[in-house]
Amino acid sequence: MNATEALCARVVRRLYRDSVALMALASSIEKREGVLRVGAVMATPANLEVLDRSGMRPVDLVAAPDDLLLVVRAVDEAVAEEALAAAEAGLTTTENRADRDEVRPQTVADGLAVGERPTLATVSTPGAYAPVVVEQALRAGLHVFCFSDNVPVADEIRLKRMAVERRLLLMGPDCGTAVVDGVPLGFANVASPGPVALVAASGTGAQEIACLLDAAGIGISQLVGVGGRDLSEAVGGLMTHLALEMVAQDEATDVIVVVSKPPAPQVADRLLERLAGLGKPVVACLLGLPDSDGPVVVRGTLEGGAAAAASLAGGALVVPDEPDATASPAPVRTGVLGLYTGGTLAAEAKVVLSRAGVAAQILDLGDDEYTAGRPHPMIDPSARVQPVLEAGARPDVGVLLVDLVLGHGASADPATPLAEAVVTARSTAAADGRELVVVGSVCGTTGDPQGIEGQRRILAAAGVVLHPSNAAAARYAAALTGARPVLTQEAQ
Amino acid sequence: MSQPPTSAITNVVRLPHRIMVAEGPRPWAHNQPLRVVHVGQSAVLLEREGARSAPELVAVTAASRGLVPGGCCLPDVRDFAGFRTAVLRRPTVDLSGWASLAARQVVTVDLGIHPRPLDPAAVALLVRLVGQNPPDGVGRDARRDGLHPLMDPDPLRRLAGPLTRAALASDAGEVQLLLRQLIGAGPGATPAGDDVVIGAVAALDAATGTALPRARAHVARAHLCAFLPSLLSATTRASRQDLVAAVEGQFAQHVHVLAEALTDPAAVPPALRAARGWGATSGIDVASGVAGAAAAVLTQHRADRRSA
Repeated sequence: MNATEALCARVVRRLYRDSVALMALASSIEKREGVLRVGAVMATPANLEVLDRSGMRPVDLVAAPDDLLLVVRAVDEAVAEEALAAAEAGLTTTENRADRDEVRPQTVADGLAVGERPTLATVSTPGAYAPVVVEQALRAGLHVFCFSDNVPVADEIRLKRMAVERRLLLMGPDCGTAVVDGVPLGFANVASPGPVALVAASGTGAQEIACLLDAAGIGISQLVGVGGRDLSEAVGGLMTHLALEMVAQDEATDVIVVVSKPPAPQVADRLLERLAGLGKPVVACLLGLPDSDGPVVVRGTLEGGAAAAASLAGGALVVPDEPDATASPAPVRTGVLGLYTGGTLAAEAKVVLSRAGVAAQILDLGDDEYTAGRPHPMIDPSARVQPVLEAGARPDVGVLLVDLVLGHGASADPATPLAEAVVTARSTAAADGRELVVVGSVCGTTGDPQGIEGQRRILAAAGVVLHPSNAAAARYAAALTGARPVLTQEAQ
Repeated sequence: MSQPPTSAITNVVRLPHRIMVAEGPRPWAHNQPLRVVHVGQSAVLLEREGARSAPELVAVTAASRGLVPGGCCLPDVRDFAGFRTAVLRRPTVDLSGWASLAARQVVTVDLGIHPRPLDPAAVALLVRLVGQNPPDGVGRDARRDGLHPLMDPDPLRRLAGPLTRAALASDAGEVQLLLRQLIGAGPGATPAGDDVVIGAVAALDAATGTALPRARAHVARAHLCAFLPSLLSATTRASRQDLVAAVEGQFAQHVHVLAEALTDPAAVPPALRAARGWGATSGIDVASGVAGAAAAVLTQHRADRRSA
């Protein structure tokens, strides 16, 4: 042994890690320059004895079987201590992972080799690589949730045809949300189980409906995202039709809702014809279309779609228009600006304001135009701070409309940066002798990890006038301009 | 479709549609919050604070993991997903609301392994497949990476046969020596050596009265189990509970799958495939225990017949 060689140890009290995680950690630390040997084990007597026999047991070690022991032999003490610090950080990183998985496969082949036979793959690679991975998964007989965007439409068509032939779901590309057999994928809210299945070509649209149904005590059976282009003329609703077939056969599903921005006319005709023959009550929630009650119930807002579905499921969605926070109800005669993180929520606000005859500027800050090279604002809510601050300084803006989207995948605390920006923007407006009324809604459920009540409290304390739905918030904004709000039938 | 009601106490953890539990006290009977220790893909590990006589840990598992002693299993995939999500960021959870479940929603499962005829071909196949450095690859990877021998479970897995032979020979000294080598040995939270011992005890229970005369099996089992209580302090809490259950004749449902595979060669490959999904290496560690012990039992059985 070299004279400077050192053996150093750290004991992490009552920490559990599986053997594969510990082996991976030890292997990684052992590759560091100057590190000779690493042990990462539970400090049981049997393990300590083996360490002792190999000269790896530190003297004066105090540890119990439920403690995790990290031991490093290195060329000198400094290297050993650095390696230990890195090892401990590695354990902490594992600890901070939300779910602390036993196994986390990185490729389709890995996933197939682990555990009992998997049924679904999540693909979240850069768009250029996604088609290859999706094809691998489909050929392996897996349903696919494809979060990746920038996938060429020709690949999307080819892969969706392949999926349809195999009767496999290809959710996406650019699919933001799904809940399949109770398992949330992508941005998904923790909605209670219930009888309504959603087939969605719009992510936050599906989330809003799921949350409204949850709040109404109805719940959802499945939420199948199909990707924003599925109902385009080019793709022709390939996956929407397969998903509809599947949820129609799903025993837990009594009512089906299709959510989308208005599809291409020919695709819409085929879709409505298909929906009429599904054999289960259906709501087509196609943003901006007039409400109608034919063989297929059509609603032009998310709130209207949720209310119709609730009614078909034997329940009721009641959306009072009174805000749950105090605010000046005096009409303001200045313009409405919407700063949204959810694209479909922004689209719904446009529909509601347009129906009320209010011209407004509604921005989807999650659009590619605003997110190039930065995270989506649902993940990084600070992206909305600057536009909100700027709104406070604009004399032409009297009403600011905002959304807040909770659930898996979304920021852990989206309310705080928005609330802080709102306080500053309102102060800026007040200093200029104006009132900026900020109106919004929270798309979330009581089961969401962020804590919906806490998030609401933060916004309310900042002066945001909160409504139970995005449509209700938009109606309130319209009313503030003096326009007469137009309610959807069921939500009145 | 009616909604499952919400627990009046937690207001987050909804009542599941169905729960599987073992015979004995229900995990939710203690009317106190349980600390969330570990949230995995197929199991949530909870800790009951201040418990003395009852098990310290409660494992709430998915159908893919099956029921484990002292725990409860939520067979409906949505129930488990909902529960897992509900506890992800909570320090504690209160299950006492589950006491209001209707009797028909609570399925009691017998976790005892009952005697069955061992098929020599099935046992030989299990031994062969387990011994082929199974695809979990932990031992192989540990050696390839030049890691400390402690990280390699294969030497521990090979001790199941010698342990069972010593127990069958009533060699108390050898049993004690091998148990000291096995209990608590292995890097992870459920040391590989413990899983090997559990597998060996399960194989003895499966062979009782079939491949082994009842009295002989009881004696061998008594030898194995006599020393275990004194060694429990030498392993982790999570593993201790499984060992106590094994001594009492209770085994996780996934151990039953392996015991059943001893009766039919066709059942061996699927049982091993399933075992690879139980924890990081636990499934193969238990399978090694079952295989090594069953092979030793059959060898003894053949020797007894020859001498008779």
